[in-house]
Amino acid sequence: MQPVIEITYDAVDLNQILDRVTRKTTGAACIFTGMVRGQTRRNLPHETTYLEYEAYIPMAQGKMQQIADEIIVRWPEVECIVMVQRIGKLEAGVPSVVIACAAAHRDAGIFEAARYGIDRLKEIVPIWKKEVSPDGEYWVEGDYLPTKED
Amino acid sequence: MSEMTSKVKVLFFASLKAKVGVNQVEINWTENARVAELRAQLAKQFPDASQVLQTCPVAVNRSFAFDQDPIPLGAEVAFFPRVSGG
Repeated sequence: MQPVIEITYDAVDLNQILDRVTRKTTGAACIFTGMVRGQTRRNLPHETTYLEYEAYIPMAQGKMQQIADEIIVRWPEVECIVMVQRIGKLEAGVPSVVIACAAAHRDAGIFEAARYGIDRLKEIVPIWKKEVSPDGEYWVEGDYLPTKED
Repeated sequence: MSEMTSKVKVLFFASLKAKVGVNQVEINWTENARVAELRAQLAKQFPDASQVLQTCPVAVNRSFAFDQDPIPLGAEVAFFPRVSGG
């Protein structure tokens, strides 16, 4: 199974992604998508006008491929994986990332696989976002430090 | 005849790129000197970013690398903040 890995400046089309994980043998897909949040309530409440994403593209592609490989080892019944990260300037409300996993049936691990995919992407894929709000701008920084196993 | 390279290329990203003020630098390098030595050398060259350069994630040839790992000549090294994609 060859996963679809994409880092793009273009808008993300969820229906097109569903088409791309659909096979004759798939009857279930779990599509996780993350959107740019315009208003944050958890921790420090604030407004966001837009996010500016940057990637170390060749390494990010390699790490997304690695995550797809990790998913297949853990959930071998997953038949198709599409991972898309949008970069550049993203206004509040638009999808920024998609992890889609498809299998024959809903109990084949697709929910867990998509969850694992987004969690791992936020740990090891070299992508960063700068948050721009009415009050100024700052680079968001994750809290995960990679290990030799990553 | 191609000249033997005696350098490594170092890339910077996101807030670290803003702090050091450049996208990349070329550093004269001794074959297989370690990541820790490159951290120290860059910290000296970019004192405003020295704290981050001493602790941030590092990749060598697009794989994560750690202080005791050797860096071959001609390597593509990257220094960057903890990732925040998604």
